[in-house]
Amino acid sequence: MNGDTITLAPGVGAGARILSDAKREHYRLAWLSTVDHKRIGILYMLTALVFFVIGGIEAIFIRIQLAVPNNTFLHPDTYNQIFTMHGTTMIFLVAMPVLFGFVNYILPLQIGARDMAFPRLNAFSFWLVPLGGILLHFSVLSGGGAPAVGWFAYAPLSETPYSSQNNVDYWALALFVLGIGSVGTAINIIATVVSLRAPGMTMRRLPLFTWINFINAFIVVAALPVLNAGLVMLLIDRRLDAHFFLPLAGNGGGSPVLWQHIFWAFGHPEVYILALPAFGMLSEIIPVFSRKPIFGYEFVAASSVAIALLSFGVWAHHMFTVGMGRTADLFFAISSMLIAIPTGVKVLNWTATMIGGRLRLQTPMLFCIAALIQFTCAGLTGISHAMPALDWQTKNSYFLVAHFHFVAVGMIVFVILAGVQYWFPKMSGRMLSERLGKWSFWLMVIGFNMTFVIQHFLGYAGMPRRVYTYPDLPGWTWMNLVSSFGAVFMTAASLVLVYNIVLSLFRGKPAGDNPWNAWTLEWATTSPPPTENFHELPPICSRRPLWDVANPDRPDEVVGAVDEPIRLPDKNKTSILVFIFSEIGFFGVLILAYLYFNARPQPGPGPQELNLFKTAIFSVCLFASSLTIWRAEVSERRSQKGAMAAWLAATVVLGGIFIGGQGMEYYDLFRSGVNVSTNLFATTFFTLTGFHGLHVCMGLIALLIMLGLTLAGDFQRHHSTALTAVGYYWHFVDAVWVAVLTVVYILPHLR
Amino acid sequence: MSSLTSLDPQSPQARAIYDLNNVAWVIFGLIFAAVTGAIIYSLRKYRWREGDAEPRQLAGNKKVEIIWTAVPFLIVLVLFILTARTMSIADPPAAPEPDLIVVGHQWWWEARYPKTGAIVANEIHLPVGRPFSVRLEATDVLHEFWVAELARKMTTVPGHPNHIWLQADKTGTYNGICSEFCGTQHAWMRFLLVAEAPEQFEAWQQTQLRPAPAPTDDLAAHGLALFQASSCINCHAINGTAATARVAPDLTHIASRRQLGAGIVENTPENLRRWLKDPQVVKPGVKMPNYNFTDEQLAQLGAYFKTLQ
Repeated sequence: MNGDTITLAPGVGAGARILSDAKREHYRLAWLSTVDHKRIGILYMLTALVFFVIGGIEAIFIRIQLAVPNNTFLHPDTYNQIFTMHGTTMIFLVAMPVLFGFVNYILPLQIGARDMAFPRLNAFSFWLVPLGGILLHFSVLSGGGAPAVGWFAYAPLSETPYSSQNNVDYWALALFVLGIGSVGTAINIIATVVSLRAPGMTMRRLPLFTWINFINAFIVVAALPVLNAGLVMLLIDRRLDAHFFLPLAGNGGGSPVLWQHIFWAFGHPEVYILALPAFGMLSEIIPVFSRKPIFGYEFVAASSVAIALLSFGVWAHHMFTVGMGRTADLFFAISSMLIAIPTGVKVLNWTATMIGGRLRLQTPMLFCIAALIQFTCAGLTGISHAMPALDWQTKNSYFLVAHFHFVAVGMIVFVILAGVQYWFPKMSGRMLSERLGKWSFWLMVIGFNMTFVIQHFLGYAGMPRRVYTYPDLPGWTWMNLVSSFGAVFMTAASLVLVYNIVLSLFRGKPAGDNPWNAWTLEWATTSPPPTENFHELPPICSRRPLWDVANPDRPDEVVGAVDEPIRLPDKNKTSILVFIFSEIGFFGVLILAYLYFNARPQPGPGPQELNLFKTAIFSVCLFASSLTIWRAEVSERRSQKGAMAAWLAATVVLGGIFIGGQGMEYYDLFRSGVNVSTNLFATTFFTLTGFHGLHVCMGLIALLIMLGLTLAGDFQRHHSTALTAVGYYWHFVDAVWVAVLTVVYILPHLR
Repeated sequence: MSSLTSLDPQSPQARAIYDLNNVAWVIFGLIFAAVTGAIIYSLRKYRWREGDAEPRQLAGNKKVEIIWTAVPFLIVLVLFILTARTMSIADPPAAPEPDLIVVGHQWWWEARYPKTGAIVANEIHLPVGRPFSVRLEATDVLHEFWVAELARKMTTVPGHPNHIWLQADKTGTYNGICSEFCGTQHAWMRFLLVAEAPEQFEAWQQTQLRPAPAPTDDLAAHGLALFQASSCINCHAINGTAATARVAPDLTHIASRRQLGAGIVENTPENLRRWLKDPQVVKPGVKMPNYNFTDEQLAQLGAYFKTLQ
């Protein structure tokens, strides 16, 4: 085994010491302008805490209203707004930010990196969270009341005729903004793991928290753009009078079922986006408190990949009652049951990790054990929802409410609480109180199970979800009252937790570097870590570097070769490729929507209005520009500044001609009275080509920046990856146009 | 009235689902017991005690892991086959012509019997023991038709008709609800499903087909005149009068119904008066506006509606 420690290059850590104490004081304000991954991580968590308080108060209002039958505490509209905001807030403004917060803080530390790959992008992604939160709540201030359409905003209820206030617009904008932030963070996570690992940290030695979040980032990148495409279509319906999701009386119109497909194609992967980071935490905490390595690292890692892939083939199990037909029902039944297998394997791995260990039942472990048992229950009720025949009875009932709260609270929130207790010492340098931690644990276990176990039976007894009140049917009243009482305990647990955090920040026992005797790299530095994270790293040649340091007599098996070199691709190229991957989901939805609505000819204008000949000429210009940007790159590599500027200028001109041509086509269509709301052909045509045009314009802006830098003589050798990135993006825009040209212009001629 | 619970099935369709549910929960129970058992076992056996050394560092066992990946495959396969079988019993293909068409509106149910032409609202009658092929439609947003004791639930989608089979083995009144969130008064979009002997059902249907009788006393006649002169007739229909609109519930036999406002109150003269006085007080958000009827007008309308048996 290699005993040398890795000393980092001098100067890396210099930043922290340049500042005088006075300046340091000044930079306390720097929490607002920080690009440090640890501070951003903490900002994420604090933001999540603020929204958790809001979403929690909403939950309390819900349980007060439902405590007794025929309650008049809340007006029905108020109740509907509250449950919509509760769901949206808890998913998008609490669960995702807090999990991204953990990833931001822990992941770079676990791989021995100095920061995330793109610190400024990281800060940007974070600040979109408060922006999205404000947008979501702005509708309350604007006078229309909060949205009241449920967190999945089923059309046609979410369309203008049935929700005429602008609250649904704010809801859609908020989710759109949050989606962009999430994709930004996911790209950052992938680039960080791919490009910034410390020497020796091969992919096969990654800690499972990092590995699972790396996989998870791919789900985010693939799923969120699908939602964003749907939101854009909903907004076009609402603001521009189109009919993507709004059926028209008698004559065609859009499809409410299409909204469900798009929403759940995002929405079910979203469940895993929230669950996988929690799986990652379980896979870190259970081994440490069992004093044993995870049982079956490869199985846990591989099952995460299986979940990520399968999660995109199961969405329609949310739609077993919408009338998709037997074949589709059976397909999504079997795919949804299959995804239970990799998930079940994980549960068995965690359980087997405990067997034969030495279990230290401190608070983090207690939360994990409860989460494990509750998640087993959630998984089994989940399988019952994957069986259409059972789902036909329990869907949209309190059984379903109980099921997803068992996932979201019983597993995810419990694991987050375990994570808080586990990593708080690293973040603050002080331990949380074990005594208070155990109080909040037991209050939470009692409260959670009291609230949600009984709801399974309420569902079997026929109580539907999202009702503001209910008649006094047999069993309903006492079961609801018990459920509401549980909320009191959960509230108490949350208050104890916040009290514990505040108290421990000032009076907590000093933590030291590694209070839990854990084995991953975040525990190899001080608590809290210095700005530059590490002064030196232990040798990394297994999955538990700190175990090897602590037990030199019996180190872990070396994974791969001792001095296995690691290959770190360029982060700019990595990130642009991942970004392009994310765009596939967005354009994929728009293209599929075009095909779906134009499979049969629409009444009114159709593809025959389009001029294939003119468009072909402009398309040739666009395709030629792929060639010119390639020449620009070649010139850059040969350091021929003049040629490079010329080729870039040619690319801009060709792209400009294409946009001009598209503008002319739009102008002609408008003049003959065809606009985005005319019929579904026009709607899908303008949406698809319009968003492609927008991407071309963004590419032109990037190209102009490149051109400006070249002309200013600022374009040195080290910029070349930036030009490569712009080049990739430009080729991608062209490739999308190949698809659009084929589907919109050429295909109708082949019929 | 019965209790609206999927655990008390009253039709072959609902019973098939119930039986599958029982089988599934036996399997789930065993799995849950195995996992929880292993966790409790390790909590008892492997608790850390002061001074304990680090345990043996076992990092996995490929053979065990392959087995516990394969076994769930078999369980899933069994469940899938059972599910597919249950689906064909609980939800067979539609009949060529529906016996009943149910239309979801914000926030009430319209039921049409296409073979006779009867149209009713919020109270659906069925002959006991006979399966009814039901077509489900919607006019505005999504709704969901659910009678837990009798059948699967099914969404009503505007522009996309769906189908279920509805059958009751025993006479009685069953609760039905809308289970897809559909706006302000989603909670009170309930209905009653009355299963009765075939001859009673026929008699009921014949009654529903009769047009409203002309009012015989003055008060009721004033009520009818008021009804026809107000904008009531823009939304409601009463067979045999000038009112033919199909936007809101058909009132031809309103007096024969047990509930008002899709389940929110019992149909008593006092409740009907409260409703007419201001429907927004009884059912906030309902599409019917407050007409500010005077007490005299309320008495007239009440007297007229009483004749609509």
